[in-house]
This record gives sequence, C-alpha cells and structure tokens, in this order.
Amino acid sequence: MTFIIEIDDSLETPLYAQIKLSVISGIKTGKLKPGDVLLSSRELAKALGINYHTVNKAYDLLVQEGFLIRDKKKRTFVNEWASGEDSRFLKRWEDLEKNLIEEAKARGITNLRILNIVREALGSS
Amino acid sequence: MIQYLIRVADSSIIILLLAYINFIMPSLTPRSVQFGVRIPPDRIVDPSLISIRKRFRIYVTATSGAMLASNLMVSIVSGSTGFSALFILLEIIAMWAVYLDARKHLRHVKITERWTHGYTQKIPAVINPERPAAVRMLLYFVMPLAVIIATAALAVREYPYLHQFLPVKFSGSDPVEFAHKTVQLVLTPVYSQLIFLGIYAVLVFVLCRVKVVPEYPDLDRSLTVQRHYRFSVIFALSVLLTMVELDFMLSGMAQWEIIPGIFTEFSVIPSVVGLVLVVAIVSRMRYSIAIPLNTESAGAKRIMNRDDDAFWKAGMIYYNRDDPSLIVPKRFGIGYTVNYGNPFIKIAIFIIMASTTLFAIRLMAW
Repeated sequence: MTFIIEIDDSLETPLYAQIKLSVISGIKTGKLKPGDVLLSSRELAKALGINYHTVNKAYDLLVQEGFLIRDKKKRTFVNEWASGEDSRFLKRWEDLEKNLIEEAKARGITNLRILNIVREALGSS
Repeated sequence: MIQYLIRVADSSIIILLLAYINFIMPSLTPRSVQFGVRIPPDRIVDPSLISIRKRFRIYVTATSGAMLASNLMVSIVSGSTGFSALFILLEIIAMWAVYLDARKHLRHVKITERWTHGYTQKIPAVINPERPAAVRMLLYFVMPLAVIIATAALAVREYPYLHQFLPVKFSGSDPVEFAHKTVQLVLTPVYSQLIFLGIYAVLVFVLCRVKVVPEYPDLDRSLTVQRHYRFSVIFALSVLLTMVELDFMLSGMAQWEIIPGIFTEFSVIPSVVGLVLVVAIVSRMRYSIAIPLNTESAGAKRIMNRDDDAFWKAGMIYYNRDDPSLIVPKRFGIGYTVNYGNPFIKIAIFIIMASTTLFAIRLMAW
C-alpha cells in the first residue's frame, strides 16, 4: 500500500515538522508498516519539489526518535519498534511533556485548562 | 516518382500527426493543469475553460489544415519536397503560439475570477512508491531484441555468400556506392540497432524515475492513471523502437542482396507506422483521464495542489531552484522537460553551448 504525505508551505509549521508529523501519522494509522522502505531524502525532496536539507532534517529527527532506521546502504525503513512501546521514547516524551507543562504554568495557564487541551488532543487523534 | 510520392506522404502524415496530438492534448494532460495553468478541482468543467478548449481546437484544426494544403500545393508546383521540413517547423511554431494564447486567456480568467480563493493548497507526494517489477520491464525489450537477433542471424548466415564488394548507397533500385566486405560493414545494421536499444534502455530507466504528482481531489486514482500512462508510453516507445529496428533490418537485407535495393526506399515505412502506433497507444489514455468528474464533490474539500504556475516560465520552461529534480513531466504535451533552476542543468547547458560555439568557431576557421 502506498502512503501519500501532504505538506502546506503556507502554514507557520515548518515543512520539516509537517513531513515528520505526516510520517508519524502514517505509522499510527498503519499505512506505513514496519520494514516499509521509504524514498531517500533526495527522492522525497524531488517528489515534493522542496529543498533536500528540509527532508533530511525531518528524516534525521525521525531516525533519532526511533521511528525510522537507516541501513549501511543509506536506505530508510520504518523501524520494527516504531509503533510499539519504547522506553527511550517514553522517557523523552515524559521530559518534553514536563517542560511543556512548566512553560504553560509559567504563563499562567491553569491545570484544568492544560487537562482540557490534552483531552481535546487525545479525542481528535 | 515513387520516391517523391513517399516523401510527400511522409511529410503529410507528420503534419497530420502533429495536428492530431495537439488536438487531443487538453485531454492528455492532467485535469488539474489545463494549458499549463493549475486550476482547482471544481473548475474542470467551468464554461470559460470549455470555451478556451474549443477555441484552441478550432485554431489547431485551421492552422494544420493550412499547413497541409500549403505543403501539398508547394510540393506539386515545385515538384520537390524540399519545403516540407519548413512547413513542419511552421506548424510546430504555430502550435506553440496557439497554446500560449489559450494559456494567456485561462490565466486571465483564473486571476480575475479568483479561482483559487478559499482553497487550501497542498503538496502531496508518495513516500513509499511501488517499484516496477524487473520481469515486467524486461518484457518491453522482447520485441526489439527479437528483431536484432533475427538481423544478426541473417548477417551471420549470409556473410560467407556475400560478394567482396557490398552496396552501401542506393538510388532507386540501383546501387551507386560500394565498399569492401568486412565483418564490421556487414554488422553495421546490428550495431545501429544496438545503439537504439541502448537509447531506449536509458529512456525506460529515466521514465521509471521521473516524479509522479498525486492530484486532488482523488490522490489514489490520479496515481493509478499516471502509472498506466507511464507504462503506455514505455510500451509505445517499445513499438516504435521495434519499427526502427525493422528499418535497419530492411536496409541490411537490401545491402546483403536478400531483397532488391528498391526496398531501401520503403525502409522508413516501419518508422512512420511506428509513429502512428505511438500516437494511437498514447492517445488511448485520454479516455481514462477524461472520465467526467463530479465537480461538486471535487470542490467540497476545498483542497488543491499548490499553485505552481510561477515556476513555469511562458508555460513551458520549468525553473525551480528549490526542487532538486532534473527531469519533470511537461506542463503541456507528451513527455518530459528539465528543471532549468537545477545547478546541474545550468552546467550542462553551459557545456553544450560552449562546445557548440567552439565547434562553430573551429569550423569557421577551417
């Protein structure tokens, strides 16, 4: 099954972040399966008509976060553990979440508001 | 006389083919790109677009009719086909002019009526494309390879019985130039066939790697259509190559005196037949692309492909510095073009221009 990613260059979200989110969404919905070979950074940049470095940045982040892996031939795959629970990922995600909550509290956002935002996000995904 | 009639027929067929290709071109190009202008899904059956398309077809028919009549008239009056190339060139230029006129009108309507207003513009791309199976790709080489093997087998079988001097040039059925028999000379048609096979292999390789652009509103269906279109082009080129290989086989058979020399005059017929077949095969695709679209549902999501008109200078030249692609599908027309914004293409153009200039200067110095 082929998976189509969609990016919008008029949005404030950087293109690399949109690519990253699209790949994660593909893994979440099962359209990208563990072991699936993805286009190389250069090929995907060609397909989207955007700069190679933008795609490379997204791929690097996805590799760092364990969603993708690169082999010696520089091929990029969906990681076998991409859709499963990963303790490293969980730790990083908890840290990130704590930072975000601290930031929100510093700006005066109440616990209830934060909870509602999280509930909304969980409900929409 | 036969020679003259064949040449008149050949040039007339080429003029008619050009006219036919241009006539059906609006149906061959993607629905979301009409006359090189990106349009939203709900405007595909817009009355302004239909009227521009109709006018384009009237102009194409009128221009081609004029060129065909002029070609026939000048050929009959002068008794020569020397002007045919000029009429073919004039037709190509006229077709460009007609296309640019249609593009100008469509762009004007698109901007003044704010067609893209309220649309979210996105760039879609397949991240895990299916690669074509190697066995399937090899099948496209079977026909031309069979002709090459047959030609080589004939050359090997005939070699011991050939005269010491072989005809290399004919005038009608009479040989006018001879050369000493060598293995290299006898195998010349086979070498030529192999060169064309090599060119075809490179083309197939490039075609399999050219980017595919999914189109809104139905991304998956647009991919299927483009995949079929690509394989149709590869198959059509395989048919054309087979015909060109047959040309070489006929020329070889005339040289080896298996058939009379007069057949060299007819040796271009397979290529012309191949060209007609290519147009027939590729134009079949228009039916799948031209399936009526429910414009209400097409426009309901208010999503369209990014408006990339600005990257197409004069609707023909693709210039996008950010796009690393070297080759991209043509905006209007069958085939592919290059990205002039890519540094490699700039260097390649510079090298070609510099070497052509140097060659011209060298020629003038002689």
